Amino acid sequence: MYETAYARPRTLEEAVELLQSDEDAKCLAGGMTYVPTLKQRLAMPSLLVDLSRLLSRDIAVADGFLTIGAGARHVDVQRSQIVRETLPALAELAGLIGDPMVRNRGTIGGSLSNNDPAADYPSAALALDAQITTTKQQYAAADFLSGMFETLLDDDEIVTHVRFKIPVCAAYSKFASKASGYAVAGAFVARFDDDVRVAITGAGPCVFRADQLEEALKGDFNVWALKGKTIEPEGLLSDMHADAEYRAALAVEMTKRAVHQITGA
Amino acid sequence: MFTDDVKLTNPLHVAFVRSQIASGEIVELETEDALEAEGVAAVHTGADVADLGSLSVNPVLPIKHLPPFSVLAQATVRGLGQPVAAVLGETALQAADAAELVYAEIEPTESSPILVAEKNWSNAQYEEAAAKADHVVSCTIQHPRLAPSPMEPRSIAAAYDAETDCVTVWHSTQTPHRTRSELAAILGIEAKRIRVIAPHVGGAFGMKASLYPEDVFVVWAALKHKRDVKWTATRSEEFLSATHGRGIKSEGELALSSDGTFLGLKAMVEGPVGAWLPNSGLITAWNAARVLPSGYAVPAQDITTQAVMNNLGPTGIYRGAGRPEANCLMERLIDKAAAVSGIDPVELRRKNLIPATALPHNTLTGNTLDSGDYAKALDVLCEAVDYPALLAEQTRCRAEGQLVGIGIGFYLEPSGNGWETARVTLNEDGSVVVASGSSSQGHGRETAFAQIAADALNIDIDQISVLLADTAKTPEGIGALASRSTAIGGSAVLKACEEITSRLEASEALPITADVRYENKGQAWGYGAYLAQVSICRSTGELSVERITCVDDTGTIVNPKLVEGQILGGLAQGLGEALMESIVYDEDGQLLTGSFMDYAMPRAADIPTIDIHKFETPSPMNALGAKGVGEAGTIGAPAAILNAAVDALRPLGVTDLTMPLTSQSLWRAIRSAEQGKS
Ligand SMILES: Cc1cc2nc3c(=O)[nH]c(=O)nc-3n(C[C@H](O)[C@H](O)[C@H](O)COP(=O)(O)OP(=O)(O)OC[C@H]3O[C@@H](n4cnc5c(N)ncnc54)[C@H](O)[C@@H]3O)c2cc1C
Repeated sequence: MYETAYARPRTLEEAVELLQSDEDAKCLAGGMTYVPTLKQRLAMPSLLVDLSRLLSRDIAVADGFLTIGAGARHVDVQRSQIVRETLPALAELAGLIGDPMVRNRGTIGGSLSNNDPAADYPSAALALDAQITTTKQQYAAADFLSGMFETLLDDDEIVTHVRFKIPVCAAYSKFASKASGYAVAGAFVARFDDDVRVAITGAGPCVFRADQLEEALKGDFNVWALKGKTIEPEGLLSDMHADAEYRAALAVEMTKRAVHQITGA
Repeated sequence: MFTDDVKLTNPLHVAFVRSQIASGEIVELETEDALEAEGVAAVHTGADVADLGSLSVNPVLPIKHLPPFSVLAQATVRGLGQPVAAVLGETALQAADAAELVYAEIEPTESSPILVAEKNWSNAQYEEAAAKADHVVSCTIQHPRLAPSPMEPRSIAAAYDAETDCVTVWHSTQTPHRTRSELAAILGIEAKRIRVIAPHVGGAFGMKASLYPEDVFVVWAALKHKRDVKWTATRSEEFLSATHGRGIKSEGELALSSDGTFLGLKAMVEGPVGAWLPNSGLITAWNAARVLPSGYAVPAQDITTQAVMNNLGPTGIYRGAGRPEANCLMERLIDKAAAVSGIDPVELRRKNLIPATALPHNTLTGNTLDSGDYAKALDVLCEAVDYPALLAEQTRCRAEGQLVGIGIGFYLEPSGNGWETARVTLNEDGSVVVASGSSSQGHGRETAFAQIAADALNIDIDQISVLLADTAKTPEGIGALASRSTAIGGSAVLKACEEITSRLEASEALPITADVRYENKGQAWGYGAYLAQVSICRSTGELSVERITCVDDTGTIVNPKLVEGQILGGLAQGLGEALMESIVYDEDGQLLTGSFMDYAMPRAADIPTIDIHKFETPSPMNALGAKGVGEAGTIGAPAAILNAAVDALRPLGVTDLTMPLTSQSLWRAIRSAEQGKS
């Protein structure tokens, strides 16, 4: 890595001030994405603003919503009794991220702010119609997760909380890359009283909803309903690991597996 | 202690500037900005090291064109990642920062492959044999290029001693004595000015059997600047510029009669080599051909191998080093022959394996297969898995529409030839020091050598200390490679202990030191048979290896635990080749798999249930009777898994697959087969 300065502010206000004081400053949460980037000399920030000790890690349920502090580590979500009871699919998703070392440091806020096209959390955020709260405002996940490694965050804006709508039931199924462990394709399926939402990660440049599959499942929430249903490969990612056609097929298959997990048949 | 942990005095750190172009002419090389950067002691380019000598290359194949060995690229760049300049900094960070200030303009040039070495073995009857055969099957196997990836990357540390004008070099290597002699030859200095120590070595797998240009630079710089100098590669540098393994393409044709008797084999092997050749740079292409036709009797043979230079990363020996390639070709051909002739794959192998009574057997390619009972390996295997029951189970699963396969891989593993040394001292207090010219990279060699000495001298193992890998304290030797260390190095220890025993009996006074240089009678050939059971998911192409059963005859076993460790580790690497590992370059010759995020390494969870069975036929080729086992798993596993995968898809009409068997490639194979049918 390049030489850089490091600060550990005590409050969010201080953190924001530091970010504003230096346009090449960058905030750091668990560092599980950003530290490897630094080590490979792919970024040259002048100042690292460490948020890891000041972000909330609280997890709470109220009025049909599950709210998680941006500083909650993947292992916190994976093990949380509250999450396991109210939204077990999210605990399972967290448990599928990387390896124990990554889960012990990486945070939900960091993952959503980074919006890696192959990350797991964005699928849950989109399928569960999450609200993302920052030091400036609130966003709907569908808006916030705006593109490949892109969000609506300003340089001096920090994610503080994520609020998920609790579904009747949900499941996440992931086809992990043999190399990185990230999703080649992952499907988060959430069933609400009056709605079914299917969010696909890994396959496209940004997490997206599979409308055709959602429609089919709204009619009949069953694996059989997905028979013959497809996702259009056009616009999906193609690289040496998986081309668009394969990712499209995997996305449908992962959706089937998620539905199967829920219905058990 | 590993090399990077060695405490040097105020050392200079090296950062290499590497070519981002695979083939080109250096038109400009600006080093001034780097030289002015803080903490930079010197910046060197090709001109500074132009006079240095070359690394020697083991000429197992007749060399037609020897690529030049440049410590830093001279006017021409011939390989991606080749060092073109080197920065010496007071800290590693300062060196790395300054390296970015070196401006290298390299004009890309067209390049075409160059034939480096070639050999043919033929008894000129193949065409005749093929003409009268009832079946001729053929196949082409393109092995993926693999990154050996020991946990510890390359690392070297040189301490300069002003008083004597000598260097002590800590080197993460398999061959410390060779490091010393090669350094002396390349630098043009007396070997006695160099002491080489290989401290703990965090894995090597063949990748650290030879010196690298980077290593030479570090020692040259220490002598030139009269200072301590060190370098440890980053993982990215390893993917780019440490030697890769495999990458071999082999094509073959097997002719047989309707009753399954093999009549002839024709094979063409092409092995890629990089811009420069390590010591063992030709071994892989040689082994991939000369281990043919494995343990089978094949009357007519026409076998050719070529080493061809291209402009990708350098290649070298990697655990197996041509053995997996030769065996894989043979085993695929046999499975294809089984499919066309309708003969059971086990039966077809058993019928054609050289019988125990015909050993030793001289092959056309110049080998002597020393000892064993090849068919017995199949018998033990079939019994261990209950082969008839396995086939019945497969029929049942297939009827349910499952894609399940059974694959067999018989293999031969030649272990090294030549000599190794041992110096054993029995002290007055009864303690024993065993010093060997061989070395260890976590094999447990110290344990095995101590056991051999304890048995031979009939003393307690705690009385024995083993010294390895320090040129100042051990006799000149070869090192740990080619599955040779226990067979040859262990035999040297045994002989030295026997000498001590007879001198004791002749009432010689203590301490007694026996120096032995043991030369084996020839290669000991380990062999075995592996069976893999796989299932493939129709909708995603995911392959699961349900179970692997191994039968190995590794000759006399010194330590069963260590042998098992070797089989398991080799098997994991063999599974890696079969299922996921592959170095990939794009059309412009840029490396796409530059980190573990893109290069898939097997993890513990990828390793299936493994059943190990063994029997021992002592080899007559060395005093211990041991055979090699270090490479067994890397040879047997890929052939068995590949055969099992093809078998799983056989009902769909699939006859060939290419490793690594990624889920995408299997999904495609399934889809095209299904679409082709409908
Ligand atoms: C080996 C490995 C395997 C992995 N596997 C997976 C996987 O399977 N699935 C998966 O989803 N992820 C995976 N990851 C990524 C991991 O989940 C990261 O933890 C996560 O993507 C980023 O979270 P972090 O807290 O580490 O963020 P950091 O690395 O600290 O930061 C990432 C980026 O987000 C910004 N940022 C961080 N927090 C905030 C905030 N609160 N507000 C605004 N901006 C912020 C930073 O400035 C930086 O740009 C893996 C990582 C590694 C190293």
